[in-house]
Amino acid sequence: MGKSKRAKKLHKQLMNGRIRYVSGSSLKDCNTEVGDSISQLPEEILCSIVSLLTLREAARTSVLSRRWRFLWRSLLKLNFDITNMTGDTILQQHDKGRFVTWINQVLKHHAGEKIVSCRVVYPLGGEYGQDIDQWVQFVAAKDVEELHIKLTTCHLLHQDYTLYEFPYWFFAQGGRRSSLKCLSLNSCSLSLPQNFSSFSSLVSLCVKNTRLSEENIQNMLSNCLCLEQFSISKCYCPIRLKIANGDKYLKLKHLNLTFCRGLEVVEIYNAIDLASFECRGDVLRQLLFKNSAQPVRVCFFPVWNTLAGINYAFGRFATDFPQLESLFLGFARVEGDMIPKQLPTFTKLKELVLMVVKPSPTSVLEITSSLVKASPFLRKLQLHLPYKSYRGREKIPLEKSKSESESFQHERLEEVEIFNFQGAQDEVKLAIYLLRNMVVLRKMKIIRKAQLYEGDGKWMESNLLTAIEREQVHKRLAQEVPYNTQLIIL
Amino acid sequence: MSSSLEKNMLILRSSDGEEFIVPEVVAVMSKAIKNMVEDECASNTIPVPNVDANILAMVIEFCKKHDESEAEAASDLKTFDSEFVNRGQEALYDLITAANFRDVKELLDALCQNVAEMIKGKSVHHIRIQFLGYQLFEILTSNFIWNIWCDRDFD
Repeated sequence: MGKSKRAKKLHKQLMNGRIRYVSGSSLKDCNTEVGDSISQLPEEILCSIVSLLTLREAARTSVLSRRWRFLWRSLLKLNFDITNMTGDTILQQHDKGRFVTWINQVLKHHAGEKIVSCRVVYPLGGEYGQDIDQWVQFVAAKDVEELHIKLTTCHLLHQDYTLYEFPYWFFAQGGRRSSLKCLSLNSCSLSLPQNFSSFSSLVSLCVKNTRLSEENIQNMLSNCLCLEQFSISKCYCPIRLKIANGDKYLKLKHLNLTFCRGLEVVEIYNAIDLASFECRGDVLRQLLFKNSAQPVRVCFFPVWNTLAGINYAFGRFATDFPQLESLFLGFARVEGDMIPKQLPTFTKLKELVLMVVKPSPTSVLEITSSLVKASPFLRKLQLHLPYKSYRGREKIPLEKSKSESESFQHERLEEVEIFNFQGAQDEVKLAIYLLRNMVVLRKMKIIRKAQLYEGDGKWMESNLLTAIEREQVHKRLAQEVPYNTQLIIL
Repeated sequence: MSSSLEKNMLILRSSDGEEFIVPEVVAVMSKAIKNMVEDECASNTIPVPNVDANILAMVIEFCKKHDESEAEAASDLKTFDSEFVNRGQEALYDLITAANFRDVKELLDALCQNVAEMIKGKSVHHIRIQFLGYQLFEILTSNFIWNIWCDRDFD
């Protein structure tokens, strides 16, 4: 009894920080005896727990016991960014030196045989090139599979910016094949030589914020023979881009060309597995598939010229992508008169994602109804409504839409998801329109949060929740919901 | 007994012999059980060795909740998860072992996240206390170490 009282008192004092020092040797002796059950869990579980922590916190667990001491030092996933360093998200530019020292130290202590993934995100300039080289060399020697380097916070680089040259040669050391599967480089230049066989297991390659020449791209394609995902974004590109590897077949499944400055013509040769194509930014003047599969999934988001984008989407789309099954269509702002009266029919389209960024009077309802009518086999529809910040300032006059009076029935559409629903009049009208006219609708999901598109099929959830209450949405729509439809409001 | 069971129900038997009647959809959230069901090597009663009735009941509670609210409010589910996993270390250990052994991914993720939360934002000596807790002090007080370092550090 007295003992436990004493223990409690001691515990309290330790908690208050009055006693800080517990002699190391006595602790070591104790830990092995103590029934610290968590520490006895299997290695892989402890590893996954440690990998949920920031590096800073992970290092702290080394005080727990001998087992924990080595856990963080053999972490398989290394994540070097500002949050992991300071536990804070505020970026301090002048701390470059500290950041570099920190990574150097962590790597010095790293004792594992293997590193699965490594991520470095910090706006480091060319002056730290030598350090970055060392890091790449270190992780390359530990058979890294995923490497992600981002050395900028800018959205678009200046043309004259000095880029860090990615040291691909470390992956060829010892003459063996590297195990690198994913490589993502932001503001680094990657200029592979002509015959470089060490990237033969690379499956996904993403280059961002850099200058690319025709030769660069040619060498990437001819050296990475297993490449399935290829993303080029925010790059200065040649006018004409040829995706080909001589006469050989490409294993390419997904091609992403996002914000490619200067790019006008894309020719794709021998990509017999190509299934998905993503193009955001400028409208391409010409797109050619030669001896290639027709993509079934397309993402198209003309950011700067909506009219040209709409004309393309509703004009040449059906001929460029005859196999289209899943379409993501995004527009900055749609005016009523931009939508042509006669739309081609998307005969195979099953899934449609439509995103409009800025609101305008007729906007979403009109374009949704035109698209739904043009796709008789549509099963799933996902709508991303315009953002609130724009809406707040502009008062949107409601026009009497013609679709209200016309009777139209869609007999395939089963599922509708509406993101960024804020309960405005036109949005409610849109939901009611869909509830009334989609006769086999099973499920309507209304999500009050917005989702932001990150590219390559990835979405990011925004944390802004709209002011409207769930009950309010329910009250407005409940009467319109047919008995066989499920309404979910999140 | 088994004849009166509906077709899509399974019986899980814990290591201490207690039986739980569980819908199949709930039971197959455990990959290990799913494999057994798919390979048809399971009769209606599936033994769950190494997991006692107490823990098995908790695991089933978790799986049921996740099965029911599949599509519904993700935030509600998150609250449930964080409350569910908020337990003492012993129970946590047993649950993690069970989840790992029966391969229930959602539960394992939630539990690991919880242990990580226990470490997050704590200073070195708080982590020590959190994990080693009273037990350490019981031992410390019970042997000579107590005398050695309490002389040094107490005023």
